[in-house]
Amino acid sequence: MRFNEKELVLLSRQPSERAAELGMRGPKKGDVVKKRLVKLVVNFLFYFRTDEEEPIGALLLEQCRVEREDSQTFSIAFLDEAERKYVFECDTEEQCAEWIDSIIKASYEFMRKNLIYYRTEIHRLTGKVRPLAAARRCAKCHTDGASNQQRSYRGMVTVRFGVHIIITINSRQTGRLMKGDGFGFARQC
Amino acid sequence: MKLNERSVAHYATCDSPPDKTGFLFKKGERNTAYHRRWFVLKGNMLFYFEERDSREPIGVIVLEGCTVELCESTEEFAFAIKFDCVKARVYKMAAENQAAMESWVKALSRASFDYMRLVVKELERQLEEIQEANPQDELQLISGPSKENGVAWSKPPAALANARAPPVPPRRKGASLESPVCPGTGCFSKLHDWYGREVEELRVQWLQTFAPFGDATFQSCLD
Repeated sequence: MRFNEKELVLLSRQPSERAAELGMRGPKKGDVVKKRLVKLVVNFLFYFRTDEEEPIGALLLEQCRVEREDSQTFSIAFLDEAERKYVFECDTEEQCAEWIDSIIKASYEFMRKNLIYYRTEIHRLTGKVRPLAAARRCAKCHTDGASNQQRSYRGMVTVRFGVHIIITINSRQTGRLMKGDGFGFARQC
Repeated sequence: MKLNERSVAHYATCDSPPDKTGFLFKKGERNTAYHRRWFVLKGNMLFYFEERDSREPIGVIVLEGCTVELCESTEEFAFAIKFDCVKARVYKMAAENQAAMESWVKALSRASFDYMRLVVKELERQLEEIQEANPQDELQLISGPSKENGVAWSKPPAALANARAPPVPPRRKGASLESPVCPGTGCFSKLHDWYGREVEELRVQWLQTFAPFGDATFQSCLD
């Protein structure tokens, strides 16, 4: 199966949720524990040989089960091959617990459940169906970006949330998109 | 670089609901003709299959750190997925009509994990603000991890751990007039049936809260 490897390698260099040197053992019989730099970025777990720039590999953390194996060890298994476990050895019990927690929360599906929960709660408490329409503040520094709206022709609205994010939203007031109009979500810093 | 490809391919075809599916034309890398492929968007992964009923995807595009733009092309309704790295590939695509193009561009530009995370944080912040303004009754924590097929699957969302769980049913004091079963009963199956009825009623109520959203698909939650 083809995948955009170059872009995935680039992703492995982005700021991570969690990174540490752990002992890692592959799922095949006969695989031994090796010291690896393990890095959690979005819903991928990258693993590197220490001091190497390019990761040896990546694990997509969807449809997987994370289990505690013993006080300092956890494993990741994928639903389609539940017997094959990737095993990770931590230095302390606390580190192990933190990794398990982070990996469980790293899946897109987990975030989706959160999103639905928050949205229904907001609706239940306020009757608002589209709470995001009101979000004009920078999600990072909470400055009010409403004053930074720029309305281009044909109804494209670019809202700068503080200095941190640019979200381009089509206001769809005047109809057709034109060539050159873009939808993008890009971090500015 | 290695990837857990078998499991990734399984994710593409497993029964978790996709965010969007449809036919698109994709420009080949070496063979620069546009090929019609069946696309499945799940989370931040855009899978493409040779045919709609193919069992395995030909490939996947990981949608992190990319932008989606309309573009100049010999094809009508064309758009491109662009990445911000040196010598990055540009994935040129074309839809079958204007509506499909706009719908795909919208879906793809919101597909990244990063974007989702920000949206969730924003909603979490909004909910906290609302809750601070309207203090609720004491809510009980849902105890224990949720189970799936007898296996501890995942913990409840982070919000639940902050004692803001959905309200549990009111506690019963002694035997209720509506039921012959007292909660003190030791017979599990009777207890199970009794609470099961209430759970079913609550579930119906809860599902009805989705009614204003029309189809409760994920994409509609992002609006």
